[in-house]
Amino acid sequence: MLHPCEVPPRSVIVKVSAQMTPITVHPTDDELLSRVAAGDRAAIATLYDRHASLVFGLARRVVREPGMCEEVVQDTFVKVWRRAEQFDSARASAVTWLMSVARNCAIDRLRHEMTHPLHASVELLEHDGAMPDARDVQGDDPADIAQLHERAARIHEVVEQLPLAQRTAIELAYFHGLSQSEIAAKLDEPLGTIKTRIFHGMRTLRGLLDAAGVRDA
Amino acid sequence: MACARCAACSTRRGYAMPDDTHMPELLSLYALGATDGDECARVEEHVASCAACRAELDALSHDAALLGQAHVEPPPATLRAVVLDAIDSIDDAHAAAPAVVPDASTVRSVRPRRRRFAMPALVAACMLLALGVAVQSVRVADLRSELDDASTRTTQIRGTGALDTASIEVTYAGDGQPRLQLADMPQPPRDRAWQAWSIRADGTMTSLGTIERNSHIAGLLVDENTAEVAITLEPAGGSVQPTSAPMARGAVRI
Repeated sequence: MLHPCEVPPRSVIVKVSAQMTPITVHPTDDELLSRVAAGDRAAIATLYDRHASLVFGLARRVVREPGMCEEVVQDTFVKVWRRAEQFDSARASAVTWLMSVARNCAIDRLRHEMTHPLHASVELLEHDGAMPDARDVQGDDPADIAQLHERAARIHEVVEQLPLAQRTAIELAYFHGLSQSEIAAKLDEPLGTIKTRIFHGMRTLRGLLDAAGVRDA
Repeated sequence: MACARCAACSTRRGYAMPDDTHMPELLSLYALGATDGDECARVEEHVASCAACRAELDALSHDAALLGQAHVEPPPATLRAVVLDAIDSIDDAHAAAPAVVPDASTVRSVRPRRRRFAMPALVAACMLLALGVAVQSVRVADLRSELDDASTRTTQIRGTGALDTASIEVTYAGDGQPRLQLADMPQPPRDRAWQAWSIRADGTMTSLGTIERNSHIAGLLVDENTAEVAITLEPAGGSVQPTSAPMARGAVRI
């Protein structure tokens, strides 16, 4: 029991309005994916509303060209619709799975269309990191939109804290679909150096994400 | 169960530099899709039997997926309707199809693909032929008519690892001829190729063909003696017999 002077933990703060309003139940992403697997069209629409901005943002990093980015978003959600029963909540969160699907779609599109500029790493390092305004982000709830935006900004800050050499290797792999040997050739570094950079980079990334409190979300 | 091949198994959590192998490094590379050659198959073979490394790989994959969440950008507002219409068109075709087949464990409802896949399928097939890619015993089926044929029965085969989001299906068109239909195939690592196999009742395996880089879609005829089909990752050009564990395997019902 809290003393009246005590402030309850943030997680148990409940907003109470004078006028009772209907309780809106927001299904979890896991629940939505279960419903999608059962053929619920409303569930895939809700997933789209929640996460299309994430998928499009990822596509913009990978394939860049807006038309191709739209194709990636479409490919991703069609694939989610067709493969939702393959989602295993014991092995990954719904967003992790969705973003893995999206990343694969984007990399496949990138390789297939072969439009990737040769100076990708330069563009990568020169990425201005500008985040879109929260008001531009779609979603099914304004609070969710703000939360999504804030979380993205925090992850972005974390990634920026990675040592440049580690970040470059990791981003060339994740966003540009390069294998370790391709990264080594591109950066003119020994393969073993790239292996080590990625290994330590992922270790550092985990620690930074943990410290920023975004890893469990 | 701890595994002598992987230092991560001995630590159970966090990261540990390998004592005598590079498996922790490979897990990181795998999570980022940056493995080379047969490393992908090595990782998948290992994590299939090592719970600790599987958990570590899941954690690394989670971290990798967070990289993709650092940038939020709204798609054009019109795209929502386009995507949902595309999904609707899948089920509209589904509703028009006759009720299908037994064995709920492997048979998924008939979902003829969206028509937008038909043209890329033809283009991919033409590219395959025009480039003279070495495909053994492969006939690229008439994908357009087949993908649009709502009467086609389909048995879906679930892939693992890199093939977990690929579309792997055995279809039975009106002529009763089964075909192994592959779509959304990920690019194999450099100097590697996906190879499809026919497995007979006695366990003998014969190649159905290889799917090289830049070939996302393929249709492979399956002969009448085939009991199962499988897909493995092989050296470019294919192997006489599989050299790695199947990443997808499923029964064929003639």
